[in-house]
Amino acid sequence: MNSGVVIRKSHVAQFAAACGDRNPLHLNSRYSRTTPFGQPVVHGVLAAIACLTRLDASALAQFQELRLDFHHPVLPATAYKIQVEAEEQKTAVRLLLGDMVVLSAICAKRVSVVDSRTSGQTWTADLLHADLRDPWRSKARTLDAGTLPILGLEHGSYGVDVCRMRTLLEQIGGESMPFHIVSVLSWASYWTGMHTPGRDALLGQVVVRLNRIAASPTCADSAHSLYRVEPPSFHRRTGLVTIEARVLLSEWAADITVESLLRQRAPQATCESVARHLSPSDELVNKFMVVIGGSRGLGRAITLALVQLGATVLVVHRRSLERVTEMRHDAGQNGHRILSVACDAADGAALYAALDAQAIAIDGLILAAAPVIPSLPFHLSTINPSLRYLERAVRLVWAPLAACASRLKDGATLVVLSSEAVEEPPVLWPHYVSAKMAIEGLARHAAKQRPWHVIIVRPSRLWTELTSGPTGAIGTTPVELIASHIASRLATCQSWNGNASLARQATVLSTSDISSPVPLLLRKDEEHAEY
Amino acid sequence: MKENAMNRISELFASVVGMEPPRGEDTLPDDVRGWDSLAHIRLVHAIEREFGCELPEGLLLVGKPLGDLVAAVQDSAPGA
Repeated sequence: MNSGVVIRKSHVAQFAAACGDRNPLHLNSRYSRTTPFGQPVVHGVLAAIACLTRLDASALAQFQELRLDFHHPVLPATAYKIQVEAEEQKTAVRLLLGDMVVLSAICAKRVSVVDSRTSGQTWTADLLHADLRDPWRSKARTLDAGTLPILGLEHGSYGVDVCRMRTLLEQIGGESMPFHIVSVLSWASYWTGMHTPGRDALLGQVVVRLNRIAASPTCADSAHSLYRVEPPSFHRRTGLVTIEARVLLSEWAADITVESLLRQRAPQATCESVARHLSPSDELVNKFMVVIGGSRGLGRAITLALVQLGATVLVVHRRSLERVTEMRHDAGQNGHRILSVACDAADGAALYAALDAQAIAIDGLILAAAPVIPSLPFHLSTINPSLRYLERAVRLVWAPLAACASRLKDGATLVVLSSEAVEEPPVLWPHYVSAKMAIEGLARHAAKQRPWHVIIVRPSRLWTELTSGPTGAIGTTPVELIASHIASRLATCQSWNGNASLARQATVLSTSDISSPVPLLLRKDEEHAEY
Repeated sequence: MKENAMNRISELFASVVGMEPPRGEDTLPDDVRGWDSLAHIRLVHAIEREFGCELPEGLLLVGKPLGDLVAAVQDSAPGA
C-alpha cells in the first residue's frame, strides 16, 4: 500500500514547540547552511510519526517493539511516498524518495521482556521522586569527543505539550495515534537533539521496546514521563553514540536504544594550514584574482593559497562577510590583499555591476561556488529537484563567468571545479555528475573560444562543511592540498602570459595529479595536455 | 574459524541492516538497500565491540564487500 506525504516547515516548527527538540539543524537556516544539508531538515522522529499515521491506530497500539532507521535526511516541502508492508508478526513502513529508502519503521508484536540484570537499568526511588515539571533545554547542548565519554547517568522528567502535539497530529492525519508512542518517540528526539549528542547530533536509529506496567502514581498520563539514561557509549573513531534509556509513562515502560552520530565539523582552511602545503612566494605579485565562493571550503583555501603567492584576491560571497573579515585577520600583513564583494554569484547582472564598481582587469578567475548536494535517485519522482539542482549548479559557474568574461585579460587563467565523480558516478548523484559534466563542457568551450588558460580540476572527496559525511576526514583529500596545486598551476600559467600560443588550452587536473606533492614546475609533457 | 567469524558478522549485519547478507561474503552495499554510510559505521562499531578489535581506517568507509570486514577481523584477532 502506497501513499504520499509532504512535511512542511510549519509542521517542523510545531513539532519543535510540542516536543522541545529545538536543535538548530531543524529550525535555524543560518546554522543549517553550515552543514552538508544546506537547509533546515525535518526531525527524523516527526517523519517517522508521519509514516506511522498510515497504520491502523488499534493495530499500532498492539506492537511492543518499534525500530526506526534513518538513512537520509528528510527535507521539508518535498513529496515522499509512504510504503506499508504488513505481515503477521510485524509491519514495515518506509518513507521513499523514488526507490530510495529515506527512513524505515519496523513494528513488531514480539513481547520484549525487560531484564534489569542484562540492561543494567534499575528503576530507583530517586527517579520516582523526580519533579515532573523539568523545563526543556532552550539551547541544544554542545558535546565533543572530550566531554561525551565522561557523561554520567542522567535522569529527570519530561512532558510533551499535549495541545500542540495533538494539533500537529490532526494536521498530519495522526489524531488517533496511540499517544504513549508519540510521547516516547518525542522524548528520543528531544534527548538526542538537545542533550546527547545535542547540537551536532545526527539520528541513526531508535529502537523502542514497550512493556505494560501497573499504573504509576507519579506519571499521571501518557504525555508525561520519567526517564533514566545510562552513560552513553562513544565510538571515538567514528563519533557513534549509543544511548540506553528507560522512559516510564503512566501505564508503559519503554526501554529505548538510540544510535546517533556526533557530527564532525570540518575545519576551515587557515593561512597556517595552507602553509603546510605551499611555501610563500612572490610568483603572483601584482596579479588580480577573483574567487567565486572564496569564503569557505575549497574556495577559501584557494584564496589563502593565492595570497600566499602574492596575489590580490577578490572574494565573491553571498553573505559571509564575517568569514572574509576573519580571513583578513588571519592573513595578517597580507590581509589587505583580500577584498570582498557580497553578491549572489548566480545573478550575473548583479555581479557584473559589482565588478564594474571595482574597475579591475582580472588575471585569474576561480569558479568555486556550488550548491549543497542532496541525494536524489534517478527516478520519475525526482525529475524536478534534480533539474533544479542542475540549473543552480551550472548557473553558479555560468553566470559569474559571463559576468567576468569582458574583464579577463588575454592569457588569463580560468579554474573550473569539477569532481572525480564524473569518472566514478555515485549512485545517488546523477544530478551532480550531470552538472559537473555540463560545467566541464562550458570550460572546454571557453578554452576553445577565448585566449585563456583553462584548468578543470577533478578532486576526489573533500572534507568541507558542505561535503562532510559521517566519517569526517577519513578517506578525504585536504582542501589545502588541492588549493596549493591550483595556486601553483595558476602561477605557472601566469608565467606563460607572453606566449599567446600557450593559451586556448584546457588542462584536467585529476586526483592522481593532486595526491602527489605540489610540483614546483610542471613537467613539459603535462603542460599542454589538451582536453 | 573463518566460517565462525562470518557467521557472527552475519548476525551483526542482520541486526544493524535488518536482513541477512544476501550474497554472503560477496555482499556489497549496492546489494542491500539499508547498508549506507551510517549503517556501516554502526556495523563497524558492533564488530569491533564483538571481537575486541580495531578495524583498519579504510574499512570505516562504506563500499567494500562484507568479506573484507571478515578478513580484517581475522587479521586483527586470529582466533576469531
